[in-house]
Amino acid sequence: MSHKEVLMGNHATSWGVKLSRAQVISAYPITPQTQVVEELSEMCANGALDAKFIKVESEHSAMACLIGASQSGARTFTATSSQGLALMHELLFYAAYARLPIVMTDVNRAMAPGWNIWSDQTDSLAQRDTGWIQLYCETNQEVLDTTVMAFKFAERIKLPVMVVYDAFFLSHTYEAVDIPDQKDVDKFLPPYKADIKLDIETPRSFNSLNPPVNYTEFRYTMEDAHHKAKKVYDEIADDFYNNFGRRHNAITSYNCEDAETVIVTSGTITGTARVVIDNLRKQGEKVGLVKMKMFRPFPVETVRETLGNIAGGNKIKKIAVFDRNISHGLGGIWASEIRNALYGLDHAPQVYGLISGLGGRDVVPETIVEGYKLTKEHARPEKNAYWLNVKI
Amino acid sequence: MKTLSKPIVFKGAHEMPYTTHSLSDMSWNQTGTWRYLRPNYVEKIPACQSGCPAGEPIELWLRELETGNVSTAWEILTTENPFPGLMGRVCFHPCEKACNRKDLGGAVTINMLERSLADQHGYKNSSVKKWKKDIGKKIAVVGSGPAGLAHAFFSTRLGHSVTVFDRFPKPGGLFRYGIPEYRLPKSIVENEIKKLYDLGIKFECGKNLTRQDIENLTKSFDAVYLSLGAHISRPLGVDGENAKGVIPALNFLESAQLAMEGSATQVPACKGKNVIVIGGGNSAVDASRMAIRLGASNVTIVYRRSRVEMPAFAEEINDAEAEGVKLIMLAAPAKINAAAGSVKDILFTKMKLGDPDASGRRSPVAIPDSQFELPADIVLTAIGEIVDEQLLPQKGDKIIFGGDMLDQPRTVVNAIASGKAASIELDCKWRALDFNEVANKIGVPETSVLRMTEYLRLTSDIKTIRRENVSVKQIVVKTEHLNTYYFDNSQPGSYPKKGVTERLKPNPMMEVHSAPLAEMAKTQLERCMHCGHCTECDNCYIYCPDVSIYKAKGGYDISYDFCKGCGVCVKECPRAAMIMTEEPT
Repeated sequence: MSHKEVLMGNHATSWGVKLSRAQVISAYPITPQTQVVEELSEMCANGALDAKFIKVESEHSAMACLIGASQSGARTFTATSSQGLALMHELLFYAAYARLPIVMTDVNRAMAPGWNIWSDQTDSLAQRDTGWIQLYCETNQEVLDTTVMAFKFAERIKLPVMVVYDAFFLSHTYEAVDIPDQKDVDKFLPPYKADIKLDIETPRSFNSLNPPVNYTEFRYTMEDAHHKAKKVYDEIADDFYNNFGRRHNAITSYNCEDAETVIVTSGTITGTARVVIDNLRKQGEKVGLVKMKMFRPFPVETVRETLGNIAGGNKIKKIAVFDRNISHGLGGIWASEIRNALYGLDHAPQVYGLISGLGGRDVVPETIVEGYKLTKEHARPEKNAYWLNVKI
Repeated sequence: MKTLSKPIVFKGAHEMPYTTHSLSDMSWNQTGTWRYLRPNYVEKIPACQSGCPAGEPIELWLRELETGNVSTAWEILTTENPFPGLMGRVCFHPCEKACNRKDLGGAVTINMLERSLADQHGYKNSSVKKWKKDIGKKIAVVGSGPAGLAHAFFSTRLGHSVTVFDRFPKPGGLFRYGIPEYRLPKSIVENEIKKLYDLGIKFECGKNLTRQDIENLTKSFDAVYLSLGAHISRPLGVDGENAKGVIPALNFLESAQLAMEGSATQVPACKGKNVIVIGGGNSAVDASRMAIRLGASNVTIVYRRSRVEMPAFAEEINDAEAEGVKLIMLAAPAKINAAAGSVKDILFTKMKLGDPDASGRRSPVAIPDSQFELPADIVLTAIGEIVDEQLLPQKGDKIIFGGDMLDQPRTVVNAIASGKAASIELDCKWRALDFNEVANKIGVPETSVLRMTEYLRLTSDIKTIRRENVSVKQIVVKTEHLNTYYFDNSQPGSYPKKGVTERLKPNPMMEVHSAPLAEMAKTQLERCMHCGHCTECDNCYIYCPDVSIYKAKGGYDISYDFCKGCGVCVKECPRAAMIMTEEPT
């Protein structure tokens, strides 16, 4: 039987990893991820989790350890944030290109300097080109559930998966979480069986030289895997719903049936946005909400279906994308990807990029309303990105 | 090497692997061919063995003791040194000065552990085997002190017949009649010497041989080993030293022991008396502590130099002080005053330190008009011992000298070493071997230490503990050769001693040192780093990046088919038990 506990987001992750029976965990501490690994090390120490826990001297080494362990057929996990994730950068490419099903939690934290430990999505989004799957979470329940799904997803599609959620708003905030029974998770997620692995009895060499004559085809097949991954995720999300009664789709709409403006969010801003939508609706505004969970592979088809008016007509006129990140020289990353996905459609709506919440600044209902008002005041976006709640 | 005749062309994604990898097993790729240096397991000489004049393979018997193999440890030790029970009590343990652990928290307490080994083995069942067959040679040993007993022990085990002569009623020499009971219980001396009786060595005690007697021995024996010791005490050279009550400290100790054995000897009555001891060596300190135990009310050591120049062991001096002996430094006797022929007091002159003399120590220089008197009922003189020249025969090639008669440090372990060296020399002579050549092979480099174990390996078929595929390097391991990362800085314990009040009452002759408790001995044993010898710690096995080191019986095997010669194993071996050598071309 599942049971409920009041957990902080980080401990929800620990539970997800424990239930998934990760076998090798290697991590380096960084605020705000520390409790994930602390709790896991205690679970290992008291025998609740039978995993090898490897202490390392940096995040780069943590990922290196997991690459080795995963290549030998172990189910592996690590957790990090901002500077730590950035330190791993070269090995993120390695893990993905080697097609290793590593699962990593990234607790979204701003990049430095100025030194800032609070919620900001720039760290994970800046790694969008490394080939990792990226899934974002709104609640602690979603964090636990996504972690369990991540292992199944990674092992099926043979790509590493990053489970991402906000610093402090989720990582350190306590919410009621339903913790599934181990037996039920075992049914959902059988042990990892690698096809070919590092084995000293049958020594092979892996990830070796690949000259121009062959390299392209490997990138092609990996990209093919990313294309297929969305469908695989949908199947796994259905499977999870059938087993545990909770659904976490790649994209979820809220109150969009007759919406003329759609607010697009990810992470905890989503929860605030729902309340704002309800209030705006009470005032007669025709506004809806789309929550983005999947960032990689970027769900182009579903974005088009949900926001692109492809059914015909001009129903959705404006999209307000809230970006808690900045790609300097470009603008908000979610907005840029969504614009890209909608390009060329006959009835593509206007896409307003809205920057807010950087460095953990609270995105309060007033800020979301400010963004919505901005779309009403401007017939079309004159800028790539509008900055909300800026003091200068 | 397998290569593809033409590149693989994939017809579709379904044929492609997820990432680049070899088609199958890569074992055919014998990366050992890349090597120009190869690792090897070796055994080197641990620093402790190089510091022990008797050449004990200390690291080895510590290891056997740690594993609980008491008999094996004892056998290993008694191949080099007959008396662990005695040495573990009185040796000045130069091994501990050499021990590499001194740089990592403090030397291993080898001395204490040797006593512990002897105690654990017990003293009753202490027979040893002979190593070689009798070839009809006979040796006479004159003087049954440490050197003579050692020589008898080793020569008998090497197959020869030995008869030991001694002027005292019982054998032991300084073991019995020099070092006092509370430092070396005579019951232990008796038990340790028993193994010589079990070997069939004949003892003729109470025989005070003259020079003529010694010369006559050369007629009936093939060799005569003279280990008479230096038992003549130097006279003080001051007026009045012939008074009654002025006794050499050595004689005082001898008579104390003889009296305890029940002989008719009279010990000078110390009870309630003032005793002055002149001298600063071990004899002086031993005599002073014995005087305390015999009930003297005041015991004072007077030494002509300062405390740091005293040749006696520092620990013994501290013990003497703790037991109530007073120390007066920088004073020398000028005149001994008597009353009715017995000593009454001594006149001393104060000294100051001048230029260094031949021994390197600063010479005492009298301070004019600085004399003072001390009352004395008994004066014990301990200003040096010399060999009795009157007993020395004409040199002949059958005569060999040993122990304190030689120009070497006057310690028990050096005496034992000289006995062993002479045994090996005689055995070489009689078995037509070149001793110098042999000594080169069996010696510890840069020392005069000879190893019996090596002599036996060289000249007999006696096996010793040695792994196959391990070669022996005659190199002494020092701390800088070790990988000290793998050792902590733990401090050693100390050899348990009775508190001062316990020492003197109720039984003042009770042994001062006691055996360590089992837990403490275990902790001390674990501190040995086993320099130069593999202890199967698995570092090489774990670290080899080519997975080319395998566990084998008693150690490891290296697969040279795959070993690339990176040298990580050698670097990470904590105890320098591996070396890199050039690939044979």
